[in-house]
Amino acid sequence: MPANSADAPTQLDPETRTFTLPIDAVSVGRYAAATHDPDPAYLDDEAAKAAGYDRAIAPPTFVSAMLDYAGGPPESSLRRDGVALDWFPSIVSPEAVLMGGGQDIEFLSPIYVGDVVEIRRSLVEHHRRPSNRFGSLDLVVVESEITNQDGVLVMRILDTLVVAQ
Amino acid sequence: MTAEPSLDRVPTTVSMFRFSAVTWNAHRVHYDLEYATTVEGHKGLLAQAYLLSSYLCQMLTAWGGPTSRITSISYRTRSPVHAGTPVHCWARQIEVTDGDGYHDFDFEIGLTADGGEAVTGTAQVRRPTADALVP
Repeated sequence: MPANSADAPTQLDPETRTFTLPIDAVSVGRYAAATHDPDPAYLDDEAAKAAGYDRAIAPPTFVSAMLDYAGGPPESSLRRDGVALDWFPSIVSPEAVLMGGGQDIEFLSPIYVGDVVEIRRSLVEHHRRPSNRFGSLDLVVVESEITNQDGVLVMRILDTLVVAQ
Repeated sequence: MTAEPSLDRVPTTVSMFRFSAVTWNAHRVHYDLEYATTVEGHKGLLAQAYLLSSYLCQMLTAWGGPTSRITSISYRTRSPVHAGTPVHCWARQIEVTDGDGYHDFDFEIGLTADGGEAVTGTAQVRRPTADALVP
């Protein structure tokens, strides 16, 4: 199915995908180190409590930065650019160049170390627009709703993927 | 009033590797220089947009203090940031809304690299009044 012309939404893949992500202390500590984030609330329960939390929390972008929530497919199944993407093949050709276009994130409730969150992802929007460098770009918007193990909606993310064919 | 938020960081190749590892991001533009330059035509390794967004949130949390909460952030990437390039995060306050025991601060935000705006957006930070905690 070809992508549509400017600003005409294409027919969207109705599929919703659900993932589970445990928020573990090792990964949170590594994330804080990789981002040079010194906030003690990610590593220290007492510092987090002093800031009004129940215990140590995940950094705000910890969940929204995860590209895969599990081990992913074998290396032989990855695209040539290393990305694991088997979704919306009608929009993303195997040779397409992928770029992160931005995010809209609502932080609704803290995500704590030790939580197990469920991520429901849906393709919600697709547009094509002209590009000086690439001729045209496809913008694909994926919505993620994050709930914790108590069923509380903790975060909502709109992720824009830019696809240059 | 506290000075407006700002933060300086350098996305080094080591921090980019660590970030890709912990977020399970195997996109070669972040660690495979030959692929990034010869296949995709970039000028170098590309810093992850998600890494840059973490810098913006760090800036806002540091400004608001431990008891503040970021309630929302929206950002768009405008141009690539290459490994090793110093970046400057900034925020400009555009509105304050009073709530019951807190203030909501709305900001324009951005991340400057190589003299241009690589990321722009908006964010809101909720800050408790006095020594209270955010309700």
